[in-house]
Amino acid sequence: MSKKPIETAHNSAVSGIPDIEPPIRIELRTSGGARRSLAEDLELSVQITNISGEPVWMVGVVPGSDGLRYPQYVAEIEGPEGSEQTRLPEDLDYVRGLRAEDFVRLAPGQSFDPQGKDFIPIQQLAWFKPTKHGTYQFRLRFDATEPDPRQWMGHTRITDPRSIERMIQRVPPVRVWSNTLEIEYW
Amino acid sequence: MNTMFSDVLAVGENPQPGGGYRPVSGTYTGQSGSDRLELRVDLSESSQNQYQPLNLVSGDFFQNMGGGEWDHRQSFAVEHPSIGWEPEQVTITGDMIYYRSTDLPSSGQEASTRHILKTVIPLTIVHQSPVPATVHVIRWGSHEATYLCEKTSDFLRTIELEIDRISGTQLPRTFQSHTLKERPQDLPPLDLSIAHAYRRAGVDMRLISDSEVFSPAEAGHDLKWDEDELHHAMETHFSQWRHEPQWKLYLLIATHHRLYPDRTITGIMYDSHYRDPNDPYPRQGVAAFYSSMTSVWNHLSPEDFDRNYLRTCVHELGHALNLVHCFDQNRANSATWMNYPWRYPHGYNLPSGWDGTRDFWQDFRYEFDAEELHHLRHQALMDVIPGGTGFGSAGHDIAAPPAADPRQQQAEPIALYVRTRPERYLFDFAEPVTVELKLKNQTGTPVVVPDMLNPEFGMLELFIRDPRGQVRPFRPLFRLCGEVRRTELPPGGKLYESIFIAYGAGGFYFAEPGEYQMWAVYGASGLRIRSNVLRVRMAFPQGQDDEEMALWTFGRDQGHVLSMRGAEHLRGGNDQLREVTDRFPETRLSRYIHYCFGYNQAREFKDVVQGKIRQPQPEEAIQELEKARAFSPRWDRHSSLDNITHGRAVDLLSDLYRKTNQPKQARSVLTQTARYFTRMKVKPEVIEDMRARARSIGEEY
Repeated sequence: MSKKPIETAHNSAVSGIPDIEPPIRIELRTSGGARRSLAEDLELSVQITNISGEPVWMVGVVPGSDGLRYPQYVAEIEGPEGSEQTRLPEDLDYVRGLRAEDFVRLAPGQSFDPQGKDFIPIQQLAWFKPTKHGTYQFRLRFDATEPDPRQWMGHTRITDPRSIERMIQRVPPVRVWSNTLEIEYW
Repeated sequence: MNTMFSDVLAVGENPQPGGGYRPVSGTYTGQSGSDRLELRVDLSESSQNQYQPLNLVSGDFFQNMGGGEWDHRQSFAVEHPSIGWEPEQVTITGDMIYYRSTDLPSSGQEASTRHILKTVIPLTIVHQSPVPATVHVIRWGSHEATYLCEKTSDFLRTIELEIDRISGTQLPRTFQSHTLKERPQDLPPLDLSIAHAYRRAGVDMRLISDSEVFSPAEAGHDLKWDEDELHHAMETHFSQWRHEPQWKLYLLIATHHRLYPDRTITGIMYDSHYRDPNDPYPRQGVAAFYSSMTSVWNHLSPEDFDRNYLRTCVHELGHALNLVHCFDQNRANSATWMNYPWRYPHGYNLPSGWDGTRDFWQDFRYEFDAEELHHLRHQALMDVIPGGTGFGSAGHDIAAPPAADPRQQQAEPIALYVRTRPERYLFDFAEPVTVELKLKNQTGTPVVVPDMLNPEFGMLELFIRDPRGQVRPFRPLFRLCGEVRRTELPPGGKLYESIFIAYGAGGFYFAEPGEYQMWAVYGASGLRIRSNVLRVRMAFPQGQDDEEMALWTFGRDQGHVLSMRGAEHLRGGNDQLREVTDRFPETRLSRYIHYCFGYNQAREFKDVVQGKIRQPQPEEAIQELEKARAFSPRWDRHSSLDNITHGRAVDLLSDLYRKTNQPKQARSVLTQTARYFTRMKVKPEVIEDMRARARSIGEEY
């Protein structure tokens, strides 16, 4: 596998990033307002758009995408007292094998919801509950830079691993951040 | 599990005499010539069952290889047996459904042979010597083999478990269920250990060693273990470890897991394809991380800690026996050893801040659920035994009923055939597969049958064995409900249906190259009619173009468009299929896509989201259908569509030409197709009907 990683960001300044335009844009949205009570549920939606002129293959959120396998969808949350570690009570002891159905082809300009039908919510984001009053900043990191397909495939048996490896090769090896969403909790 | 036809072989009432009798359920073993049978009898009995009964029978055949070696040949199950209790014996009879190890190439023999198992077990009181069970395997109404089987266990599987631990860790202790108040209120007090938990599942888990304590040096100075280190420890310290499948398991009580130090991982089954994709004998060992547990559960009472520790061990050993999480199989609300308490009952769909731990323990009866029990006790041997098939590959295979033997089929009053028309064996890579079903009255008198051959009605089941030998039921995208529609078949009369089976609720069924087998079972009028086996081969991709075409095609939305013959709202799927027709026009796949597009444009489309109605677009539909039905020199002047689909395309096309005032073309497509169908030897009445319609168009104008 000879994927050359590209590290870039959207709507956020990160030092040391090569000047390469990412093929995708990630948008983090909320249906609620920018100010809400701690009792309210946090509902965040994600949209990934192919902003390049070529088709792009992506993988939606599957079990383990929040850090146990690639591609990763990792929520970065800054609370009033600094970085919030959304540590789940117990993590998965295995993640299922990647399947052909987990791949999505995006035509130029096309968008998809990586948490949509056939995928699962980003576990740390879905489970997160703010506990303190103040301003929280939410950002999502998509990371497909891992060159070792073993780190993508999961633990259960895959019927046709070679074809899944070929599909992994088609996912752009990028690390992209979403916009930062700011919500004030009172 | 196939429950659709459970009415055919009903489970009998149980008039077994009361207490004092030996339990009937358990494992029986006997020989016939060089074959050995291990039979698992799992019945509801009057006397207290040691484990929850499932009312079925399963078993394994082994062949003597000499020198005390037995080679496993086949596993089978009798899913819905007839059970006859009499004062002195119980007789169990039913169809044997053969499993296949999913890693072996398929011979196809097992799918076309019908075997009946008849087991007679004498009832004996506790103080009497047990009398062997007599097991007959009957093929075609005559005995094939008889086994005299001694009862070898009251349980259905026997597993030896070896536990070692790292110095500084503790073994799991027995947990008494009534010491904690979060439990089902009607749960009797249970003293639970790993062995007891599995015995409650019908599995005799025998602890053979818990004595070895070794230094954590093998994990390195950080005391954190990765999969390779754990596997190496197993090879070194598991006294009975062998490079082969065997009913032996290894549990290491370790310290921490290395890979995800910021994560809470209390146990793993480390012997998976993730560690070594080429390991031929996976699932032999598990680990529980004691130091992690004491760190994250330090707020728990000793009893609650013991309970969680025990759950971790039973859970991980379940993975080694090839059980996956219940929430990975759409059973997130199952209170079972294979769930995560905090996720209960939501699985991956976590509400904000959710913790279902308390609810889980309130509902959990310290049991596996019915699906898991079926797997542990009755799934194919290689799918359960440690060192067998890869993790996650079992539990997805199904116990399919066998197909009919061709000779038997000819003698049946009503026969069901699965075939391709025109007859084909080789399909292009990514080409959609459509099969024709034919139900034939082979008697000399008229027969009334349900006219519901489409699997969407739920009366017909189609099974597909893929090139790796895995059997999957074809699951249509939709289920239709309604009154049973019946039709009278005259002597020799036939009923036809064309079924698109390339895609369904289980995804794409023919995505891999290689040979596939298909057969169907039709539950009609109290009969259970089995079809022949149809074999087709999907060609290997011929190059980059075929790979590209597959990537454009094998998506969920594309599958829906193809299966539903157009789905306008799935724009992404339509766009990608349009790419296929643009880039690969001279392929059978493209012709089928044109058919779907044409079919869709010929009808009105109600967009309930947009609140708009798109009127039929006959001109566009005509263009698509003309492309769909076009012959190509590449296919030797054959349509790329099967006969029924070709006929439907032409009927629609002729109708569209009439509606757009083009009678000449309307006539022409019918007469051309009548000539083609004559060449293809289609039923004369179909051809005559086409010609008659062509003539009527002539008269009309």
